[in-house]
Amino acid sequence: MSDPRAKVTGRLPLLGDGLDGTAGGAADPGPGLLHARLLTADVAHARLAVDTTPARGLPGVTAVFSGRELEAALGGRPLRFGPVLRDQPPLAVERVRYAGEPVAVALAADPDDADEALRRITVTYDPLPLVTDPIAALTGATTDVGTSAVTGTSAVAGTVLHPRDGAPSAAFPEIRLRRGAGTNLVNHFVIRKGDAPGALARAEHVFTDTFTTPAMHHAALENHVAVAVPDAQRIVVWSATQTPYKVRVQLAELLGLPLDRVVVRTLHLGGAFGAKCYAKIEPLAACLARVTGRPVRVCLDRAQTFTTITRHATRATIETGVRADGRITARRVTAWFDAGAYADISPRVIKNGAYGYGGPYDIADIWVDVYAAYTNRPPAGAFRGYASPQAAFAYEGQTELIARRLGVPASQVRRVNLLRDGSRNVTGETMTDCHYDTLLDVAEHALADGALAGGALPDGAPDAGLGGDADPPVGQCLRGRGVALTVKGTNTPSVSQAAVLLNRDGSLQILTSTVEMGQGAHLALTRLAAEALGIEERMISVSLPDTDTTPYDQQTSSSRSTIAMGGAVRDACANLLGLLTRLAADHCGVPAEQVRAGGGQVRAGATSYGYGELVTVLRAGQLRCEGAYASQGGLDHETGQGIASSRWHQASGSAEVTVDVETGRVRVLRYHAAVWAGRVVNPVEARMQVEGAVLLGLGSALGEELGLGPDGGQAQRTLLDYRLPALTDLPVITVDLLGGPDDEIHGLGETAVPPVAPAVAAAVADATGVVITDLPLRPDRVLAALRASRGFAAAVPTSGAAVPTSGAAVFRDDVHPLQLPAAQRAEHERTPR
Amino acid sequence: MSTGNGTRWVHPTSLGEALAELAVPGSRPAAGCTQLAFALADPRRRPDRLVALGGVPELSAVQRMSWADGRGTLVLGSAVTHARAAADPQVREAVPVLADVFSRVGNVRVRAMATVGGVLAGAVYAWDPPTVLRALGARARLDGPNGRRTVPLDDFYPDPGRTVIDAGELLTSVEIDVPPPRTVGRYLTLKTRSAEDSSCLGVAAVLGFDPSGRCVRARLAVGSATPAPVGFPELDALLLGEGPGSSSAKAVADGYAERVTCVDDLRAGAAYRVEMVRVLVRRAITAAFEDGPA
Amino acid sequence: MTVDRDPRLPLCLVVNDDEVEVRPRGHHTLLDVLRRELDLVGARPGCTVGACGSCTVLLDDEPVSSCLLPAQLVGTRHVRTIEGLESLAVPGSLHPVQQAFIDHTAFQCSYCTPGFILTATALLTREPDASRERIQAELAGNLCRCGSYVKIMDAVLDARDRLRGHHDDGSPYDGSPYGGAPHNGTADQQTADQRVADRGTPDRGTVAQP
Repeated sequence: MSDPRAKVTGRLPLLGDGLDGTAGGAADPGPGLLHARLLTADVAHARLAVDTTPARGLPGVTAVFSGRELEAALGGRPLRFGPVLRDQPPLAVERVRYAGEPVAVALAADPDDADEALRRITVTYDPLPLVTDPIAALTGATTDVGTSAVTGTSAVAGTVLHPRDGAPSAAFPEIRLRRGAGTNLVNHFVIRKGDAPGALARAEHVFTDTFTTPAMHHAALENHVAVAVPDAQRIVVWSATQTPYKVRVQLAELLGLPLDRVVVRTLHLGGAFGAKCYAKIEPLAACLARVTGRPVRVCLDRAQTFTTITRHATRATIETGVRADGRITARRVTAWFDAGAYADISPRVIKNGAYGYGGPYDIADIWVDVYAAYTNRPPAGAFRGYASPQAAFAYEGQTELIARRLGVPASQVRRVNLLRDGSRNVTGETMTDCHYDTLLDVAEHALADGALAGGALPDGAPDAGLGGDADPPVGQCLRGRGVALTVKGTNTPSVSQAAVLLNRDGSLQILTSTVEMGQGAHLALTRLAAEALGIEERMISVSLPDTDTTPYDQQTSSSRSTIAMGGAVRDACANLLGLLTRLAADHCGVPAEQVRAGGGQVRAGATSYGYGELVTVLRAGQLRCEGAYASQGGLDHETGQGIASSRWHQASGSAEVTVDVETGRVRVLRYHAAVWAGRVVNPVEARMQVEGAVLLGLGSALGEELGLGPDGGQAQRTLLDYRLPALTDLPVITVDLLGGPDDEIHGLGETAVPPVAPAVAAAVADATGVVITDLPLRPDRVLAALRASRGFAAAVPTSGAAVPTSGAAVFRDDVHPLQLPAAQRAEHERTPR
Repeated sequence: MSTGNGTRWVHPTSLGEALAELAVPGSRPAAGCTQLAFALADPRRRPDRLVALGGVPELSAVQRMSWADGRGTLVLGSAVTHARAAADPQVREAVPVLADVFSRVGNVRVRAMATVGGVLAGAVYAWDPPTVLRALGARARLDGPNGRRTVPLDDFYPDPGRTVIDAGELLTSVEIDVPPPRTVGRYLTLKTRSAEDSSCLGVAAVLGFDPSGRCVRARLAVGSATPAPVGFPELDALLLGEGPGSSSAKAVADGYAERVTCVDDLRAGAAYRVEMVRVLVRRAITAAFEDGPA
Repeated sequence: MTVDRDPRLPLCLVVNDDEVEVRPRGHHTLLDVLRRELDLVGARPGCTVGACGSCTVLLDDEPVSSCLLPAQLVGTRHVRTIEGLESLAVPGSLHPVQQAFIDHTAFQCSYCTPGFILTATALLTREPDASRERIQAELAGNLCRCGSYVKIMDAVLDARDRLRGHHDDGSPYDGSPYGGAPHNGTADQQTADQRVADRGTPDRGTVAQP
């Protein structure tokens, strides 16, 4: 477990530390470390010719490779990795599929020497048609650089990113895909519950709306870093990864090694948020270490991290049939997820997206089709919330729209449709442990105190005058409140294993492959073990993951560790108590039934031992017990029916905002997050997980987006161009962790993310009467939506050129949203100096 | 250790030495380096030779000159940092709006390093202080092999991203005439992505009033949304003679929106910015009028 | 007299009160020197454009981005990193700002924590009575993606009061501006339970955590 002192003194073991220089850090690769520096592609889609000759033989430079040269050096077979489809090369070969893709690498003991080598490499690009939109990717249309207009609908040669299919990976052997060979379809996930077309045909009202969410950057402050150390028989890879065991599988299949010959170790992570799931740069590090026979470090810079993995941009069209009272009778969803240039975990993300579109609502007839498509954007993958936030923005946005069209309160639409115990959800599972009524109650009452319009700012809300921003006094802004109610699943089926080691001094080691990245998992495991064994937490330590020594764990993601690994640790502790009981019975010659182990003591008849004392007396050296957790479930490939998740993570959010009607600026004054936490193991860290989720959600709601630059590459590649929420953006955040000590443990890492953006959008709608259907709620987009609404035409000057906008549904008339012009272009200026 | 591509530093200790060093081919001045650092970090853009200005006393002074007729001029050396300009008692007392803008640039770390000269000579449209300096009628003093010249900020940016500084010349100080009593300066910004973002638009208004509260001097400037800070004196003049409750604010704002040319970037599109010029110019004037009679 | 430094000569810096000799190249930043040559790794690369604050160090007691500062410009100014902050306090004990961060669990992954602590320390040294708004504005240049801002504000406000001597008993500051958010999960949960109970729809298990 991490010592809090280490966190405030900068001494927390991180993989990047120590290795910058000659001193060994917490991960000691031994002598001869080489630094790998990457050359990345300037263009998004092109055939590629790399000439590394001029870079060879420079002083200090050990080796230089293009993608083809790296394959040749390792025996000539194609090198491809990916957790589901092995479609991604460590370095681009023949074809570059996104701007920022690594195309060459230089190795040197001094990274400056490697940089010098990179300068001499020449790359020539023969452009291919750009595919930047997932719908166009599937219909064969291409995009002109610098515009977002679809220029044609016929298939164009070169627009299929992966003419040859990637082989399946052993990392997720159970995933079945639905895809067409020789197309850009990564996967198509289907849910067929009931007869949605029939029910829609019979519905009293049918509403069809489209929602979009942009790509996002995870922005873990620690960039991707990995160090690979070869030896004669094996390869050891230190990596800042959330998934050491998955990375091991991926490296083993890439290098053609049995699993036992690959070791993956992690230290603490400087944030992850899903970006560090599955192999990213580890394959390159491992290949380079194999070729050179020396330890190799790959550490990305921020620009490279920006294009390594993103959150899926999505577009979802939801067709919902409702009765006049708001009861939903049918739904049909078609959604497109932009997978980027490589599949990564997209096939699985869209499964969660697909069952997500049902929301926390009881819908008898629902069909969902989600398509993940290859495009020439950086790969998209796991991101805190795992498609749930994108789905929630869509279904809760439509909840608001339906309510306004029917003239009933949104709360009524929610209330008459809630999943309750005994309801059947979108995948046909009969629900238990449902708490949506409570969560909705909490959300609707959370901010009910205090006047709205013209009221004073809540204490601690962002101040109008801060930083001299130009908002008028709060009383001159419109003010509104909104609610959202959401559901998120967790990785199912899922396996975790743990071991506990009891020492003769009574101290306990927990061996676990759960990765600690700030979420507090190790503290939760400590607490659970302390409780199970009745010993003090200070007697317990938790290992860092090491596939040589720590037992199997599927991955640290999906808000699953306290449940799954916690279950494994509790199981191991129970087994330890059983072992202590049997050993004491044998030693004392009493029947096992007369032995009691617990509370730090083993009592056998009249004799009593402390745990450590018993180990000593028995000369047992050390006692070791294993434990396991496994959840069951899975969805039918044809219908998407079955058990999607072993737990349902339920949350609500309430936001209070002001909207400056002249500028379109939205400020969130207060936010209340409520989650069904069940039993809370660790209240302080649990609360911080929720607060952090809210901040992340606010970024997605108000400003974060990855766009397309004029060259077809990702426009944002620095934290100056991609702004994260800062302290001055912080609203008053309050948190409810609902549940009690007798409840099941529920995951908390992501639960509070999905409600944030829809709650903020609902609050904007409450303030203005306009439901905006595209994220983020940028001022220009909000202003355009207000102007498109007749209700605001009088209040806002209308002269001047049209303002860029996109979809927004307006209640007071039927104005169609304008199309988004390609207004944005890359900028190279920086923050004021 | 590689030997090539090293950046060589020289550290002059007087203005004369600095100018002599800058005359060496391939030399560039280096002060706060908060922008230059990007070039240093990029092996393809790394400068060959840098002339550090921090050791030149003439460039690090803040002075207030007083003229016989009672007028005053503030002279900020080009190597004065944002933090120092924001905290300097003379600046705060004489031109509070200038202290204000320097206190709001970037973040505390950037302000500790970034300089008055750098933020002008960098010619990056998004930066805030040039807009306020233009509204204040500031002048840039340039020293070079051919002597000294003084250029009003109105003429400092002949083209987007370019300044009038010639090769071998150095921006040595910025002069700001101390506004007479009853002058109000306001600088409003619009930020679109985070409170910590650079400005999507900045509007500076410097208005002078007579004792009755009538406007007798007016200079506006719009920046961060435009290729360089701009102002339209003939529109500003519409405010002259106006008092509290002036109806001219809207006319001036509409005029600015009509005449201004805005940029598209990741903070916002040009059309939106033009509309925001209309809003913020009006708000800045209104705010200044509200403060005026006080 | 212009000093034309031979780049092969070592550079003398004062880091955490010690004089050290380093040999940076012309383009190396202070961050490079700290991490590569001095093994001081508490300053961390995050964005390398001065936006995130992970690499914050104090230069003559003021925070700077060590990722932007060329080593050649440090000169005689004193560099203080998170590793040198403890020596400002009683030897062997943490600086009060560090202690406040622990007491309020004002971190998750803690990658950003040294930067926040140094920035807050500089502010409270310069402005011992800094208001909440001042603290918020000053720390806004440091980013925490885990989203620990609520607790960071609690910690810095508490540290301010401790440094002013208001809370020299080390007890946690209880004047949180965030609706009195408590330091554990109990109070809010009770509040929610109460609200649920008030509506007469008590849901299964909505009782307070122990």
